[in-house]
Amino acid sequence: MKNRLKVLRAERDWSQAELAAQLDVSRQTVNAIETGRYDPSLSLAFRIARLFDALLEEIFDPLGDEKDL
Amino acid sequence: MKKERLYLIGSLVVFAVLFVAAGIATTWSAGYWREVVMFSPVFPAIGVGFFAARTVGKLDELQQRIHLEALAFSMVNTLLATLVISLPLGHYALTGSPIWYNRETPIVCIFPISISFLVVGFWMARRRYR
Repeated sequence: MKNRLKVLRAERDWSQAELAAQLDVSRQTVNAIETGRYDPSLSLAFRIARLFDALLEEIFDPLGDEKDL
Repeated sequence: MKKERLYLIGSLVVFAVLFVAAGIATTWSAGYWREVVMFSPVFPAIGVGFFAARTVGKLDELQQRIHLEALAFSMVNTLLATLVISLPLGHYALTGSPIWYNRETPIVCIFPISISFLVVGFWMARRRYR
């Protein structure tokens, strides 16, 4: 699943560690989500959306992988 | 976390002491106290297990997934490895064993095999999500 987490983080000039601290997860988790290696749980996805004041669909694109096929 | 770490260290120390005591108890003559002392390391070991479960429960979701994948890798491979080891040993037990064989070998093998697979599984899972 593709996402805009890296772009949104860069817009706010946050480091991965700062974002991880705000989401109460490890930096490795943020990195894995940004690179698309890990899809967050629904709970974490909502926390991310709330933090960036955006809708889930504005951050995560569930069809992202299918477009690449 | 500091309190839990103390709990872990305490459990490990008690386990080590009782483990040594259990080893000494094997030389005692058969009786009630020998059985009690020989089984006593189980109780602090349960404490260590609770600590491990609580610690993993407090990790974030990716770390939990990494631990789960490592555990699954370890369990399946330990099962297969012990099966592969046990089959020839069972054969030796029936047909006459070579010098290096003794009945305790499979049980002694399980722990290092399991830990080795756990470390390898953990390394592989961490690498996947790096």
